[in-house]
Amino acid sequence: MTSVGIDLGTTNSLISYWSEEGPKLIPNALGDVLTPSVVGIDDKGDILIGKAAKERLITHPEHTVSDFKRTMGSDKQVTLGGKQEQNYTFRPEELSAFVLRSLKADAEIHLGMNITNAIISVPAYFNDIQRKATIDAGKLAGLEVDSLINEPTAAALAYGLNEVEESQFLIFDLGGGTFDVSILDKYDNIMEVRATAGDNFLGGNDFRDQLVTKLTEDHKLDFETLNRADQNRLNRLAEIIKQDLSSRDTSNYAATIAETELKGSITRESFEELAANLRRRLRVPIERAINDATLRPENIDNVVLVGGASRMPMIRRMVGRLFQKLPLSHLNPDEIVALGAAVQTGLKARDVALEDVVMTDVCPYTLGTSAVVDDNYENLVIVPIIERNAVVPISQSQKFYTIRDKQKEINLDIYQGENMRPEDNILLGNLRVEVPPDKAGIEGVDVRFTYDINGALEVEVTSISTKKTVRKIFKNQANLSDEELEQRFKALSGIKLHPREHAENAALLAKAERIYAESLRTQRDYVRSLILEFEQQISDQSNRDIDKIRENFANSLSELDNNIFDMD
Amino acid sequence: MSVWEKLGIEATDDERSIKRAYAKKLKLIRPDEDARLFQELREARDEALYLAQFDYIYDDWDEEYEESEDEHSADVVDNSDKTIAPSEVAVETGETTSLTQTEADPFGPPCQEIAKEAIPEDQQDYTIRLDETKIKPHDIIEQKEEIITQLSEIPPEAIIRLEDEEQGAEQLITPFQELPIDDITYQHMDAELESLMGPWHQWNLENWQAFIRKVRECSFDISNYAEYEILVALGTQIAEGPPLSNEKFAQRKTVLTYLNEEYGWTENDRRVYDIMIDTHAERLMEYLRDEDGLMQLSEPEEFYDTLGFPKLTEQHFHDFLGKNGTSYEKYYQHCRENGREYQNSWCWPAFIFSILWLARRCNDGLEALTGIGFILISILLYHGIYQNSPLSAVIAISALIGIHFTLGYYGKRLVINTMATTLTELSANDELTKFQKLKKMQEIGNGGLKAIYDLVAGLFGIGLIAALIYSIII
Repeated sequence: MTSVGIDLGTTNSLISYWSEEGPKLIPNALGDVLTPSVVGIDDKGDILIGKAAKERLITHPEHTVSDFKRTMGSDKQVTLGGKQEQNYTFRPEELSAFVLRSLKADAEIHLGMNITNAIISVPAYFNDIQRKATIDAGKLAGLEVDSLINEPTAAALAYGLNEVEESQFLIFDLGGGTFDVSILDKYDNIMEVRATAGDNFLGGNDFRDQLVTKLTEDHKLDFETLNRADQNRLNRLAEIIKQDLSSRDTSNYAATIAETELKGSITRESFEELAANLRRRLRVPIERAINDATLRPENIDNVVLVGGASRMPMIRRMVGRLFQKLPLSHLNPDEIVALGAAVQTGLKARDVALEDVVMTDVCPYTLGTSAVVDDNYENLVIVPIIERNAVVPISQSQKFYTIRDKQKEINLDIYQGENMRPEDNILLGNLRVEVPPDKAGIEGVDVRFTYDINGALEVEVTSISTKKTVRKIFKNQANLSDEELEQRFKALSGIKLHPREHAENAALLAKAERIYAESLRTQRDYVRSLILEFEQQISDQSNRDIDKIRENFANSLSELDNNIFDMD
Repeated sequence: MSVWEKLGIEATDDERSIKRAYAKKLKLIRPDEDARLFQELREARDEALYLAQFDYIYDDWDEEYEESEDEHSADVVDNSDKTIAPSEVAVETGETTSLTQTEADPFGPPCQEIAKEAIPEDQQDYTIRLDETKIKPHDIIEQKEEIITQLSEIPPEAIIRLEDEEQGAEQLITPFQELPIDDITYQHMDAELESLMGPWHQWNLENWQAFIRKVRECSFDISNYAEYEILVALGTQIAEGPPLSNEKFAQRKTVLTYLNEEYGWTENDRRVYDIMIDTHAERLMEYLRDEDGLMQLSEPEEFYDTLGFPKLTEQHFHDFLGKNGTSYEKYYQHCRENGREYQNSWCWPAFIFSILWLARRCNDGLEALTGIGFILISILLYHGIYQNSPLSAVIAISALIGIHFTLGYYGKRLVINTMATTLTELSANDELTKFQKLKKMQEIGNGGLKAIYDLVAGLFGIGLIAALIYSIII
């Protein structure tokens, strides 16, 4: 077994594998299954990943980056550690690759074998370019990505195998940065995705941002003028309040940010009021998915909540109101996608236990080409060829004709998206095919779109009269060329990850420094002495009781942390 | 291969069993291994699920029939002969009076009489028992006329109550418009028409005309069906691109004119948009709304002359005959009408400058050949003069005059006469399509040219032989 399932999330990432007893999650060096998707650079120039990096968001904001999944597929670059000699500038793929590398190392140690292949989950509504960026990230991390799986589909696999009876159910996946809805039909061991819809820029972090806005308004702060550290501190405070409000009605907070004493309380009602707009946005993809599946809300037998942000009571209430039934969420919503990805590896490997299970998925967006359909040849519009939510693999064709006399070639732009005008959609690429010059409308081409199970689109254009064929596979063409990928892979291999065996220490130290930064006066002195003592102890190679010392250090820290907030 | 065969089950309207069959097959196919088979299977399943929404399939008809026969045996008048399954439509008044007939004439006169007697004029409610009307589609087709007669006995304003005893539900439907048997009939007619005339979108003009005639003649109202099918067929044609032939032009004109008269499409585009995808509908409506739209659609005027020849060829015709081409033709026709023989007018330029004349008629090569002939003759002439032989000079001069004369007279006569004759015959011939005429036109042109070629070649040959004989004599 060399294939693993990976949930590469906005806030947390997980790695899992298919064992004979079912899907299993793999803990990281700290013993957690959740590895925060945060990448940072430490003082020595090594890359820090996970919890340690997350703590350093506040103490070393210039050296740490999070939420990069949101920029996947764009060429927005982040520079880490600007003041250092080594000036590291990374693309989102590369940052993701660091997380993947760390997950891969965890799995290799846990399973005791080399990991070469992976199935990575992506939001169902990720577009073609974002998907390719994810595959590239896998490559940069030295992983062969067997296929991508849609997150709600993965969740459905994990849930559907045992938890759900034969029925039609809806997966409501609200993650840190993305929102996906999928409707599935389960019968006779067939898991059939009926429809998928979503919003790539709506997640738990948007709910957090509402709280940040409220905090800045209440305390007359200007978020934009705050420095990065304070911004991160404010974000962290809002995140804590958000999670706090999931378990209680009122959250009291007290913190010092940018020399302002923040003290007050936020009630659940006021938070829900703030988030009313976001909840409205959540309804759009739900409605679209139900319509596309040609169902009515009452035909949905079950609703499954997935993703950390679905823990919020207001989300549960909203779903309950919409579907008139209690949503299911008895598996850990953070872990379910990764478990599903592991099931998919089992399916792919044709594991005996899964022999009878067949999963069919859909293409979540419309694919088409641009053409003129009016008589004046003025308005270029999208002509859909594969409609969204068509079951994949699928192959569809359509004919197009020349519009001008003596036209020598037909140019086909391939687009993805639901909008009428080409410019509002995502251009995937283009093809040109030569046709013999003739009167307008005589010569034509037959355009065939084939969308395979891994989300790779092949476009084949055949001239009707000459039978000449031009083929193009839209795979891995998006952001980085193969050479670039190769080059960056080499560059990344040269960068050292922080040693895994020190990960726990690094995370603790980072946490301690964060507490130091947040505290004042006597507490500060105390934290400093703890840190210095701990550093001295771990640098002493002869010390055999390192685990015990670490535990003591961790306990002291969490006592301090508890004084401020109840978290972690 | 039907969808049911692909799924490996009998025709059914049970969604669950369709899904089960699909699941069974899917486990053998696996989407990641054979994408094409998977797509076929999926499409078969989707179609089966679609069909299952309607009650088209009565596979267990025989059993049901027998059951219903038992139930209503008391009411059955005569049902002994069951070699061909009869259809039963029971028309009921307030009290249950079930009426049945033998297969030969299920709605024959006795039935109608009883129906008339049983239903007072003022009675407005009729009930058709659906469970008894589970008729196989081909029976419906055979008995269509009878059904129509039967139904037409019911006043149109009456409400027919369709009663499904199994479900106990009642549906109120206005007659003749949405009767479920229409669906069955339509379905079957569709198959029948296709088997007779091929798929709709491949019909030729005659098919369309025949179809429209049939729709108009049919007493049974199938207008909704016809409209829908025409729309779909037209939509397909439009989607396939601009029409390529005159025949397609004529087809569209015929069909659109019919639709406009029958359904008033120019006034009401709702139906068009209902049925066709928007871009097709839009284009169609544009044609319809334009006052000359139909004309435009059928014949872009600038391409054709009054004779119905494409202008492209008329241009050739003019090039070939000169400005006087049409007057030649008129003169020829005039001669024929008056019983006179057609005579060529004399053409001096053709006589004097035969080479130029041929060049004017665009006979490249021909004038070149003639030119070579003239050069040879001139050599002959010069040779004769140089030798002071009066005989050679006489032969050369007479050959020159001969060529001039023959080209000028026969060449002109051959070309113009053949052309004008065939033109007139062609324009009077309705059996040929415009494109066939066009082809003939080109043949005439070539024929005329060929005649001149032959003539010149002959003359040239004669000249050569003459020159040869002369040199031998010398």
